[in-house]
Amino acid sequence: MGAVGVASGAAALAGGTALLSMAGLAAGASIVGGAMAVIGGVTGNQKMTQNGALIGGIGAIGGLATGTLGDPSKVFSGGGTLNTRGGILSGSGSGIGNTASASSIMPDANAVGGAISGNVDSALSSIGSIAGKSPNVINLANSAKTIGGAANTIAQTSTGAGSLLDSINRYENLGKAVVGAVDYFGNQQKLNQEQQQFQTKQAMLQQQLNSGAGTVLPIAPIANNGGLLYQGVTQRPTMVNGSNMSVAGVK
Amino acid sequence: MPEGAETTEVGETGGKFTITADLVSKHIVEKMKPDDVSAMQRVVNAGMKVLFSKETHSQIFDGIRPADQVPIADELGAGATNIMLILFKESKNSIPAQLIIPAGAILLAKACEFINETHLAVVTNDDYADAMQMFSASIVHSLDPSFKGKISGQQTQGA
Repeated sequence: MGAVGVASGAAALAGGTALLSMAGLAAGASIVGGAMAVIGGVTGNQKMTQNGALIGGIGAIGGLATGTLGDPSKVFSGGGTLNTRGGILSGSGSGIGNTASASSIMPDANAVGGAISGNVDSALSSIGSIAGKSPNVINLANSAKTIGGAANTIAQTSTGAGSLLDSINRYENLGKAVVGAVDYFGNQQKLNQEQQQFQTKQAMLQQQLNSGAGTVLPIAPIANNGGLLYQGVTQRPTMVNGSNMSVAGVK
Repeated sequence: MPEGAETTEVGETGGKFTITADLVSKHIVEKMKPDDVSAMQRVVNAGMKVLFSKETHSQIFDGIRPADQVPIADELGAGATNIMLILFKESKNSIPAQLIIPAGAILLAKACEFINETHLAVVTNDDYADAMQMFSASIVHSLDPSFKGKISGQQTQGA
């Protein structure tokens, strides 16, 4: 996968002029960074998670770089860290300072949303990995929920950041789902209790069905040699209040 | 691994290759706007033709040399960058910017699967992760040469 296109690809891009919207590239990097972080979590591969966060960081920096910065003292303070690998600059960045004005600072909410998604994904993935090894899963899951909640607050205090809000809401829900899953599956007693309640309700319903009490079926009579029989009914109906039919023994 | 399956094993998998193209695609599509998904699939299909067509297949994979001094992750990252730049050029710069890195991530995973299945070389999860980092950084830098300067500016202002 090495030789082909090196010359043609590079030559096409000579000249030092941006060929694409940096915000678009940043959005793509954020998506991939987030996906890699999640994959790193589910496969237990730390490097995927780390590099996913780095790629998400490229998206964050790229997105920030396209925006018009307002008051630097209120702007994202993290900025990012840089490293070099094979002579190619790569970056990771995170951190939002004054989030209330995020949308006015950052015209491209997608880039911010993607970057935050990447970071939250990464955090959730890490939590997921750690949860498998730690007895304190609920606290960890609650931390995930807190991350989601904080991100949601950021989105709500920003104006015009609809896609950011959507993106972040998803992660808040994910945090809640983690808490729910831990609560539910981690608590066998609750599970047993629910099963018992279900069985009790089932028994009550069966009893009610057997007794026929209060069961009124609007069934049209069908002709039968012995008189009137009702479809689906094994016993003769009785009159209730002179109008409705009360039947028992419904199959 | 079956299509779309994810291992639930928690542990270090850096020495194996369990990251399939289907897995990568699934997680990318989940994060993508619905309108972009079909467009990205078209880019991936075009990339698959470049990767596996009779005319270009050997040129691409001849570049993989397990015994040379270049780490496989670097060869993969550079290869993915070149393929996406070719596609971008051939499309007359019409591929939407936000699709380039996601499509490249899927194509890279497909190439890794092929390389492992044909025993051309051994690619691990760690190799894929490193190749992706190199690919993402170099594609951004290639398509916007001022990226480095923008980062520097942002660093100064954000500090």
